[in-house]
Amino acid sequence: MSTRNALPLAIVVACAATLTAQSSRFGVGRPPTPDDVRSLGAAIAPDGDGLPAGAGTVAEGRTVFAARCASCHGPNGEGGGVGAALVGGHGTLATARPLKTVGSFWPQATTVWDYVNRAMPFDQPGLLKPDEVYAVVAYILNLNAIVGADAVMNARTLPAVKMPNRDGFVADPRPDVGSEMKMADVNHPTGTRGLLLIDKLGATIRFFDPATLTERASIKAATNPHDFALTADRKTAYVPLYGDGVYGRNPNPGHEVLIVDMDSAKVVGTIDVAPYRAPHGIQLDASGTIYVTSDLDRKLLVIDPKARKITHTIDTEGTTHWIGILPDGSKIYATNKNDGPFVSVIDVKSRKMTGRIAVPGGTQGIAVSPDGSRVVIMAMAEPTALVVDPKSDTVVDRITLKDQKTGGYKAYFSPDGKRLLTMNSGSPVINIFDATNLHGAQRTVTVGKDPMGFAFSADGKTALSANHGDGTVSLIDLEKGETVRTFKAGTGIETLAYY
Amino acid sequence: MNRSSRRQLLRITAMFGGGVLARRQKLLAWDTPGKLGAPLGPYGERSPFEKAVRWHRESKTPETGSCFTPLQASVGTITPSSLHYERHHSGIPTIDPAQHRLIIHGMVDRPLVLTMAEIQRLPSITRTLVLECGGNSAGEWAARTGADVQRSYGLVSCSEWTGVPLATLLADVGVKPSASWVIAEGADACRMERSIPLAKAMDNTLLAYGQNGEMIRPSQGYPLRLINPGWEGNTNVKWLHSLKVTSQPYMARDETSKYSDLMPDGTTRIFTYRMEAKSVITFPSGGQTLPGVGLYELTGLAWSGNGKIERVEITTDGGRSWTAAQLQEPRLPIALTRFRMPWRFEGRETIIASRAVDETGYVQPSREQLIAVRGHNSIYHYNGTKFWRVQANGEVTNVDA
Repeated sequence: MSTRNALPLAIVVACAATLTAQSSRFGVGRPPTPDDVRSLGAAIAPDGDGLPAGAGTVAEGRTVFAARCASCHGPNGEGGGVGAALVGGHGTLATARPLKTVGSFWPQATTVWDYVNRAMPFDQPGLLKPDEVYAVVAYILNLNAIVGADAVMNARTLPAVKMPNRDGFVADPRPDVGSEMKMADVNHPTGTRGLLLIDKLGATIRFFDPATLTERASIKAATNPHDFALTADRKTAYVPLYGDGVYGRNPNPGHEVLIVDMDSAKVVGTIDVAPYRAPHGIQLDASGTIYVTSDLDRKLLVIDPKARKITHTIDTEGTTHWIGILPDGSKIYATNKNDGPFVSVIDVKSRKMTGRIAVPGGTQGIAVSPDGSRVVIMAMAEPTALVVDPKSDTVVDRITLKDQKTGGYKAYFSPDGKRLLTMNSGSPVINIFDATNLHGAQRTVTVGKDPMGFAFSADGKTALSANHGDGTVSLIDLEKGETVRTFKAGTGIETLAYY
Repeated sequence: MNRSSRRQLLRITAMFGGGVLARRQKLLAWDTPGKLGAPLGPYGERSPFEKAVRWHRESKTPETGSCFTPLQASVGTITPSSLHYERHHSGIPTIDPAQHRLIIHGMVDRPLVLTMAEIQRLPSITRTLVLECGGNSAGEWAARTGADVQRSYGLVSCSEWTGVPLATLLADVGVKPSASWVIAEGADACRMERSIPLAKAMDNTLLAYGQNGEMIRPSQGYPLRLINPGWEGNTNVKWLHSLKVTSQPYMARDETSKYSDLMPDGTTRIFTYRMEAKSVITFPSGGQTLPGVGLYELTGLAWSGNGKIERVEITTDGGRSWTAAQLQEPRLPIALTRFRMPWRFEGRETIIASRAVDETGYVQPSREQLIAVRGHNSIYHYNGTKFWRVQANGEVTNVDA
């Protein structure tokens, strides 16, 4: 949860006009002189920015090393004294006794320069001149067989050195253990860090403060997004760009999936799905593989997010618009509107459609229960929710939606598995079920116009309804079964989630 | 009865001779003249009878290494400043605050040099926050786990920090749109360096100078340090003297070679900033002895870098069943939370542990769960549950794997 602290803005704004561009609005501090920055010493970026003039050879480095380093790091950098081993350990990282050295583990050579320069020798840090640092780094790299004996290290050659373990680092995927919600819940997000809203009608991705429900950042998209998927660590969102139309009338389809960094609220990459068009419904499996629909091309696209490429396509035999993947990742169910009177059943491992579940009248939204025991499919032609048993791929129950006259539309299970929320076409009223007893009492709650998405709070007590028809979001008290407040959000939010 | 009337009474009773009265006088404290206590003084000390101190782990170089908070003696939720854990890499610099400068430079519109006096003029806030070393409990990955709570969980402390939100200063200097990182550097001999994502810096990072009602202690970064609420200790750069705004992380030694988590498949997790929910029973804990059967207050500490503690569960049957403990209110986010539970020791061997759940729903994992995912060699971010064995004779030990 953000705890950003409010500035005394009125005071700041009042003073701003009287100050020049070069001074602090608070009237403190002075611009640094070149000497100020020089006094800090060098700070070296991985691209070499900050490296000073100078150079050093392996032979020169041998001399510096013997004089300044060997007493702690051993005559050949083998460690054992006060200092760590600098050499060796190649190929040991995945073994029971890994040895992490400059050669086996450090990702950048520039880091070696930076660290030797600022922190070494241990008892007299900063002693070495730039030439000596270049030399001793050349020597250490040579000891590790990363550069040849005739290598010269300078500001140009050093950043070009590729360390053996440069690609061995991965982003923090936690929480990776200990969550009450299992890995399955990658597609049932909740949390207290933030609130993501996909503003379909406004073609904008919005980030709200989950506590105050006010916008704190946004990203304008080239064309309209409808859906999203969040990685298990909730640090990345994949947002398919559908196009500026709707299902059945999308003459300018999009062809990209945006990769959004959630911490910085910035697009950090794109996945081009061309020649396939209009990516729409999207889910992830536990390994992070992306599955996204293309209704125009009647396919389910399988995407490797690291390579940012489609690896497989699966023919769903229908204009697949939404999908639901089982928590164990074994099957995906794809709904096809009324293009065909069935739900497509896809086996994930073989990446093939293996069956159909007949639903005369067509199907709309789909919701997989967090425990994977049931799949709820919304019938298009009548106010009914169908319950599918994923073991047999058959409809085992039919629930009539109370006080609804139009066809079923979207459905969502709460991440804690306790509730099912459903929507009907064109209806401002949503239905709340006790997920453990779908034939029990249904609460009906009026939200805004044309709700299409739900978000669930981490404490399980409230939900948000994305009312894409009137540009609002409603906060619903799930225990009382009533709307607590409705607030403006973008132009027309279709889907949203806490994370 | 005051002294002069006491003396009068003694004179009167003496006049009437000894006997019963005289014998009775010898039993009373009035008999001994009062001794004046120690004088008042300018800076307080604790009682000489209080002995709990930090444990300094043996290190080849005394200026580097760690010093562990005596959690077994902790009371409440604030760590006394003198007992705050230490983790240094080149010793504690002596800095004259009048000479100290903070330089903010790089991808900013208006680079700035600030004195301490200027920093203390800026709008400030106060937050009570837990600080934990990324390597706290690193010994617990091994089968022979730590013998007592100090050595096994003691690189964690909680202070009330006061300072300026970094967002305030960054707004003042104007951050360029393509910037995404802040490189923080300290003025210690090794000039500790860490790369902080700009998003964090703009969220809740603090430039702190106050600790528990006075200026930060030298061991905690006097006169200025970074505080990144909920993030591993090393990112909270002490003796801060430079913030350089950039568009790339600088891949410092202390976020690549160190403070990165090696996984069983040979890949390494980098920028593993967050400290997750964790708890430990501080009484009864390893090395202590219960004096006898009877009612005790079982107590300990819980915390999470991701917000408030939601609940703490205690097991007194080796993990078969768990009961919720009482939590000290108010529960502050990213701060030590004291839990308590009345417990009757019956003189039978009992295995106890605590397990924290934070407000995100995250449950503190067991050692087995952690190892199953991360193997044995990741070193950092161990947050597993800690079991203690209360033997029949009241002696408490750790439980080896």
